This record gives sequence, C-alpha cells and structure tokens, in this order.
Amino acid sequence: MSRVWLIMKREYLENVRTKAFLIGLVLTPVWMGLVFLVPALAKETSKSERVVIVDETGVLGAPLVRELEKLRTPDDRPRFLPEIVARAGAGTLAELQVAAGQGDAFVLVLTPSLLDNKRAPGVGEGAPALYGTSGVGAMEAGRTLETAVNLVVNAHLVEKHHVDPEVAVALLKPAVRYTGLTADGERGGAAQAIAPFLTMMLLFMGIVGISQMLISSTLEEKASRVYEVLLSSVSPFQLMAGKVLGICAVGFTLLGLWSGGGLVAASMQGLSGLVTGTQVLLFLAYYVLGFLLIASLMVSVGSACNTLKEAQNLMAPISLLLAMPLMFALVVMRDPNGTFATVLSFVPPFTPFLMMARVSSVPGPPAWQIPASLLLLAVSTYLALRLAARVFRVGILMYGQPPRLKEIWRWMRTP
Amino acid sequence: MRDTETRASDPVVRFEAVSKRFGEFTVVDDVSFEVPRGSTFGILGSNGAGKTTSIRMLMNIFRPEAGRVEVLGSQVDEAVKPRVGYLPEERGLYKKMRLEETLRYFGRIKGRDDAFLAPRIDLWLEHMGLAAWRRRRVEELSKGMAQKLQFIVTVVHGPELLVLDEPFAGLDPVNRDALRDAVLELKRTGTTIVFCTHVMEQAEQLCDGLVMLHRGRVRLAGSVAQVRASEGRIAAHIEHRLRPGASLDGLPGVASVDDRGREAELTLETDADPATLLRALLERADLTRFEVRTPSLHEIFKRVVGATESAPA
Repeated sequence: MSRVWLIMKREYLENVRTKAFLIGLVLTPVWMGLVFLVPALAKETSKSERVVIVDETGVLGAPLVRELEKLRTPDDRPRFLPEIVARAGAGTLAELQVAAGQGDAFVLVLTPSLLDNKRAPGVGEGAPALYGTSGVGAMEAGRTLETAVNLVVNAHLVEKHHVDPEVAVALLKPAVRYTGLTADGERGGAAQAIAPFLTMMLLFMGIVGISQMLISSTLEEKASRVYEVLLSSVSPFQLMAGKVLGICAVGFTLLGLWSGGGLVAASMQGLSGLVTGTQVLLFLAYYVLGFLLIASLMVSVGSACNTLKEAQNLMAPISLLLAMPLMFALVVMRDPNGTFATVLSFVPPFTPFLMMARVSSVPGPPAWQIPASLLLLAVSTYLALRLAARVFRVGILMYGQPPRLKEIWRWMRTP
Repeated sequence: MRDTETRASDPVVRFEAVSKRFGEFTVVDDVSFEVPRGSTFGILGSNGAGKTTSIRMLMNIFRPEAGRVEVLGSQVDEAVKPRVGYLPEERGLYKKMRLEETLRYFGRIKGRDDAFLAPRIDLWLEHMGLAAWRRRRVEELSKGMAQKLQFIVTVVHGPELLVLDEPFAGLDPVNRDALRDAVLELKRTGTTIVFCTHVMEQAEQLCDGLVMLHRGRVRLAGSVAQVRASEGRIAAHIEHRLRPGASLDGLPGVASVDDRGREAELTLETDADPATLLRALLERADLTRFEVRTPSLHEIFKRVVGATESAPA
C-alpha cells in the first residue's frame, strides 16, 4: 500500500506543479463565465433597425411611430428607424419581404382587420404580418416590435370601445406569476434552475477532462522507458492504481477549488441553500467511482499506444460515447424522473453525470435509485479496472506497431 | 524469518527447464542454470538469442510457458523485489526529476526509508562522480552520466542480487571501467550478480559462471575456464607484420583464422604442433608476439553461432 501511495504522490505532484494545471484552474471558470456572459452582453445591441410599416389602416401608423421613437439603444441612439408606406402592391410586398429576409429592414403590415377587434382576415383580404430575418439576433428586436404594435392596437381598441382605462390595464395584467422554490422553500431563481447543468458540467470536466491526463502521462512514461525499472519494485497493478489515484486527486483538487470558489461567490451574492450536505457527499461518490471507470479506459488507451496520434485515433469513438450525457442533458433536466432519464442514468458510463443532474433537480429521484445506481456503477468500475490492469500489464512493455483491438481483447482475457 | 529465506548454500537464481514462446516463436527453449550465492554469472549470446527474455522471466515481468524460475528461494514477488536490483536493457528515468529526488523515490518504492537511503545516496553520487549534479534534473545529464545514475538507482537500496541487462552498452571506456569497478566492489561485499551481454571480453573479465545462449537454447555452460577448455582445442594469438605477398592462409595445423589486421587469433586443430606453426609463421612474417592458449570466449562464441548458422535450419 505504501508503494501505491508513493506512486500516487509522485503522479499528483508532477501534474499539479505544471503551468498547464494553473492555467486550467484559472481559465476554466473564466471560460464558463464567458459562456454565460457573452450572450447577455450581445443582447445589448447598439444598432438602429429600419422598420418599413405598410399601414393599410391609415390610423395605426402614426401612433406606432411615436411609440417606436421612444425606444433608445444603450448608447442613446434610436432603437428603430420607422418609415410609413401607405399601400404596397403584391409586387412591392414581395420585394419588401426579400429585404426583410436579408436583414435590411423589418417589414410590418397593418391591415384593417386589426381595427375590427383583431378579427381573422377574410378570404382575399390581406393579413397583418411582421417580417425579419430568421437569425437568432433579430428575434429580440422582433419581440420588441410585437409588443409595441400590440400596445398601439390595444390603445386604439380601448379608445374606440370607450373602455375604462383602469379596466383595460387590469385586463392586460397577468393574474398570477409562477415562482420556483428551492428544497427549503426559498425563492430559487436562475441559479437554482441551472444547478443541475452546472453540477453536471463540473463533474464532466472533473472526470472526462482530467482523466485524459492519464493518456499523456502513460505515453510519456512509456516513451522514457521507465516502466521496466518501476516493475522491478512494484506490480503492474500497484503501478496503475498509483497513477489513477494520483490523477484522481488532481481532479479532486480542481473540483474542490472550483466548487469551493463558486459557493463562496454564491453566498456573497446572497444565494444560499443551493447545495445540501447529502448532495456534496453524493457528488464525491459519483465523482470517485465515475473517475475510476473512465480512467480505466484512458489508462488502457495510453498503455496500448506509443504516440499521441495513435491514442487520438483510438480515442475518437470513445470521446463520442463520453460526450453523450451532455447531449441527453436537456431531456433529462426537463423530465428528471421520466423513463428516458431513469433508464439512461443506469447506463454505467452515464450514471455519474445523469444521476447527479437528477439529484440536483427538484424533485430528486426516488430514494432507492441512488444506492442502486451507485452499486451498479461500483461493480462496473471494479470490472473495468480489472480489465484495464490486464491491458496495462502487457501494453506498457509493448513497443512498435499499436495493437489491434482483437489483440487487446486477447490481453483482457488472459488472467 | 520467512521460511523461504535462503541458506548460504542455496542458489540465488535457479532456472529449471524454462521455455517461453511469443506466438509461434520459441524465444527461450528448455533453459536450465543455477547461480550460486556471491558469484557473478553471465548470460551470453548474440542479439535475439533470448538473453533479455530470460532476464525478464527472472524478474517475473514475463511468465514462462514451461519450467520454473526461482529467485532467492521463491518467484520474484512483491516480497522479493526489494532484495533485487534490476537494470533493464530499456532504461529510463523521470526527466524532470532531480538526481537526489530520483534516487530517493526509487529507493523508497523498494521499501527503504530516508535514514537508510541518505548516506548511500551521498556515497554513490560521490563514487560515480555525480555529486556536483545532485540538484540538477535528469534531462540535463549526458548519456553516460544518465547511465551511471541509472546504475545507482539499481543499487541504492542495497540489493542482495543484482540483475544487469547489457550494463556496459553505450558507455565510453572511462565510464565502462568506472561501472566495472563498481560491479566488482559490490561482488566483493557479497552481492550476487547476474548480467547478460553480447560482448564476450566483458564476460571473460567478470564472470565466474556463464551460459551461452543461441536461438533460445543453452549451447555451452560452466565456468569460463571450463567453457574454454571444453572446446578441446587451443588457439595461437599473434601480433605480426606479414612480408610482402605472404598471407595467413594454409598454415599447418590451423583450423580457422580470425585476422584483425596487426593481430590474429588462429584456432588450431586438435593434434596441431605449435612449434611447427611458429616456424611456418616466421617464414611469412615478423612476429612481435606468439601466445598459445585456450581459445577466447569470443572465438568459441563465433564457432557456436557459425556452426548453427551454416547448418540447414
């Protein structure tokens, strides 16, 4: 055991003392922050948009222009530049639609049916419409225009029918608003909603990201021919165990610093009760078991290959498999206890990620599923490590041609 | 005391009818030998003779298909490993580690504590002329220095048995002598040494006993003197300057000639008369040396290899 400890310590220190580790430690949260911040910043566009209003009603155009002129960009320029066209023939409308599709202008068609309590237009009668590009960037502006048109049309109808303005306002007000709560009955907010996703991402980086270090570490030691020297002191299994546990501890350090920092930042923002003690314990359990499972794959790949290029070829299909939990994430989070989520979270390589996402969702999974999934994961991790040890034992002394999968399979069957 | 603890009279290494195949190819074929405690034993052979495979079976890195390998009374397991020092043919260390750190690390995974290791690290670094480099990183060392460090890694934990795979390969003459002296010093303090080489002169200088392998089989075994005498022939070692037009061909009683230019080794036929040969030689050349002796391992080795090489496979 003390030999495994020595190997683990060396592996840990060698990987923690590198610049790459420090850079990863600092840059990953920065990168994650940018992923959330950039869209928020990009929303604040400062471009003035042209709006061509085809006003067939003759009355709505002017108040709408006044309404739109109230809107300013953050740098205090007009948000929209409206221009009114009284009528547009079929040909002109088609041209305008092309312009809208190309993003030159928004095209708004106001028809008389709007004045008639927004009734559905009859046969042969033009329908009201708002056109723009189908790009994501135009949606925000499109929604702002929708609101403005609605406001102007409603104001017109209120006046026309002599509705009491107070009643009109009351009618437009929502009766009740939905509030998401945390497990302790506090108001949840956005942090609560993205908690499952964040937990899963953190686990994914800690497991898939960090365990890849085992490939380069194994390849490097193989290239430096140090294995045979080590094998005269320790067994192949002790060697592999020390390496895997050393890198596991590296990931542990990263996750600890990140999530510790994240929780401190959250509590400074006044957010508390985001994670419970049970969740932290489960996170650790899923992390360690999940790490060992994926690490057994990585260490097999690293020991069977001689160069990074060979390893990358072998890793391509494996990476695809490992990325699958991220693809399922959305479905699992929408219905954390549905059949789809339940079944997938019992597939061992997905278990840590999907179970953790389910655990940090509200409501959590049925109580029996947590120990059951941990047990299944533990058994498959044990088997994977045993097979990996067999590949490792042969692979670290093999040079030359990388082995075929058939040959690796033969190594696995040799006790 | 473990019951596998060896008595002084027990062999330190025992190979009993050991065979190893890789696929269809038999690399080591029915090899048996014993290495007595305190002796220096050579496993000789050309490239591909099965030396490294034998050594790896000795270290329990490969498992034999048949036969039995015993080291210090048992298989090389985790309990025996600390008592053995192994210098593999494919050698390597951690490039980024400092020399001192390297020695401490490899000594510790052999189960030794710092109190045991610290004085030995000082002594060996001093002894091998690496004391000034102890705070440097391994990657800064020259090839010869790295090899000397690798040797210290092999011996720093004080092994009873030293297993060296081609220990002198790639060393310049000065470093080779330094390493040989260190090996002899360890031998004097009672360390048993098993090493393999394809350089017969080294074996001749160092070995008490030896096996000569060819194509995985033992061709010759015994002490150096026994092996040399077993040939039943003698050789003449000469230093010469041939007269113009003369050659060493067709000398009386000579079975084969290994002409190295200014020197030559002539293997004599069993019934050859050295005096007749000397007279014949003096007619053809000026001699500065004429020595009759048993043939060198080198000569014997060449004949062993040559005999099978020319025989139909």
